[in-house]
Amino acid sequence: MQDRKRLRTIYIIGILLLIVMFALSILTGNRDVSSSDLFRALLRGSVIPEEKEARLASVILWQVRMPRAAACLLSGLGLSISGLLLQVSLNNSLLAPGIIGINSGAGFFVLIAGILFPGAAYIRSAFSFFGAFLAAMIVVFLASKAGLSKTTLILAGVAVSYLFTAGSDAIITFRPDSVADKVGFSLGGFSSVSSASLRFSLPLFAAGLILTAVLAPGVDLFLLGDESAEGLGLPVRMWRFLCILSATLLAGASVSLCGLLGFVGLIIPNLVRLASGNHFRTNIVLCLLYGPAFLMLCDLIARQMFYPYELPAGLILSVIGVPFFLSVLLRRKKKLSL
Amino acid sequence: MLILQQVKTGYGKKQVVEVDELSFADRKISILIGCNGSGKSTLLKAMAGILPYKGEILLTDPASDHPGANVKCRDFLSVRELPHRLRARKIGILPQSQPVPDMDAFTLVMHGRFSRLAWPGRPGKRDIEAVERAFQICGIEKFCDRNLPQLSGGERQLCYLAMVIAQDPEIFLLDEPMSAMDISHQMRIMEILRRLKEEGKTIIMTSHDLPQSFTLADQIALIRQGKLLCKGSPEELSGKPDLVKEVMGAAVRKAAGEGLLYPYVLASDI
Repeated sequence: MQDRKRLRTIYIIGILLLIVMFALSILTGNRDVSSSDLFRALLRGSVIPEEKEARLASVILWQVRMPRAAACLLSGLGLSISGLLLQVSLNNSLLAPGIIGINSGAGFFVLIAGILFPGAAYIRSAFSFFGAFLAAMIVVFLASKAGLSKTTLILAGVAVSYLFTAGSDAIITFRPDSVADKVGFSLGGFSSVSSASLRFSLPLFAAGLILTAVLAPGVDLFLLGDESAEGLGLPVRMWRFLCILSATLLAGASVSLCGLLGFVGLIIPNLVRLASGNHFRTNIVLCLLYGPAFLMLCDLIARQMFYPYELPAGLILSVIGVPFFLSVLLRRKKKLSL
Repeated sequence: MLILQQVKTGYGKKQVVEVDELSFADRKISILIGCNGSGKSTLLKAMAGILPYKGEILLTDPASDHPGANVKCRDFLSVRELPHRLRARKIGILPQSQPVPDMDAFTLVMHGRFSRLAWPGRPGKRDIEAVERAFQICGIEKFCDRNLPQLSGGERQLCYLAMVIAQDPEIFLLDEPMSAMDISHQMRIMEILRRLKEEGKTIIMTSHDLPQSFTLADQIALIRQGKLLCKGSPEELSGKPDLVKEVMGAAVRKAAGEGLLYPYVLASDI
């Protein structure tokens, strides 16, 4: 009973946090636009009016701030749910799309798409997913050849991740025009989000989320070991493959928006699991709330700290994420050792 | 009835077990006895349908009430061809070693209902009743809210057994359910197994504890190096001490005296 009450508090805080962060990221930015103008632009919808003052507010809202906030929202939930899926389906809380090479695979192919088909946002999204999927399959294949243990999986992932990162660095060095914002891409950030790339990543996010929802009831059985799960009626191998597929869809779509923003996929799922225990459906909802809220906070700080200059959000993510994560881990250790 | 015909199974290319003909009667406790590494666990996993096998493993289906299942013959269901969920409603397995996930006992036992839950997996009244009944059968109601890492090994084993009971299969396959437990937990589990038998369940388990198996079993199958050596009731097998000794290294003899927990004792002087 007490647990349920605590969980409800966590839900409510998450919802409020998400709303506040979304509002703040709409209301703040490089250009001073009054909040009442923005609000009126919001009510008018995405039609751009003729008169000058109202036009400015509408353009800023619908072509700059809204896409950016939406990209934050989508990649926050995409990366954290992707991390959650990997951690639960492969039974290893150290996994995240950024760690086992999914992000760097996607990033590498985003750069290739940037060279081969400059400006084609839908190809960028498709390549991003393909790169993520390719990296995941290489890692899982390598790890299963060497016996799918927790350590080999991470080692294979880190190795593949280095390979793709090296490839990306080579491309950026030889063809600086392949990506608009080099630093922002490798650290992860939202400065070059366009509504076109947003639109074409949407099908990937939708597919990943629907697949996750379909798989959700069986995912917790992975925790009981493959033999028990299979005995309880779960087709373990297929379910695991689909979980990884879903994780790559979400991570690939996120990378096509925000570059190599890795860390959120590790910390949010772990924090969520510490807070609520191993209950996948609850954890998905918590990831949906806290992933985006946390990413928006980082993006907000990245934009405001050295205003009018902007830092990549990935930098802030590491700077505040790591100490927070470590402190939670240490607190937990203390609690367990008592 | 569970029937094995020319079953060969193992891990990857390595064949571990080969059984020509073996059947297990309904509503009885059958125990596979063999040394460590004899292949009894492997055989159990094949019977549960969680390990690929050659040959045929069949379930008799008196009701034949599942025309949707992809089966060749109406009276026999091939374990291999049963869809996952349907199979899990007929056969439940308790593997020998279980991980210790950070979850409470109630959640664990509720996972037993997986094959009976429709998407999105919200348990109904019947599922909650089944879980409560499983807790009550195992006598572990007080662990309901406890997290598995806080429980002892024996208590956790009871929770996992409750999970399989909540699954409510017709056939229980239990892989050494009493190994590494203290005697009071072992007695508790024997009591639970007898109760399940009375309720009409079929129980097939593995063990290497001879006196206990001879006391509990209706049927015993001796397995040596992946082959079925002999099958019979405890009385029949206690009349063949040399055979038992050949498999296990010690024979079993009826003990004299009253009030014994196990009316059979180990004997080396055959």
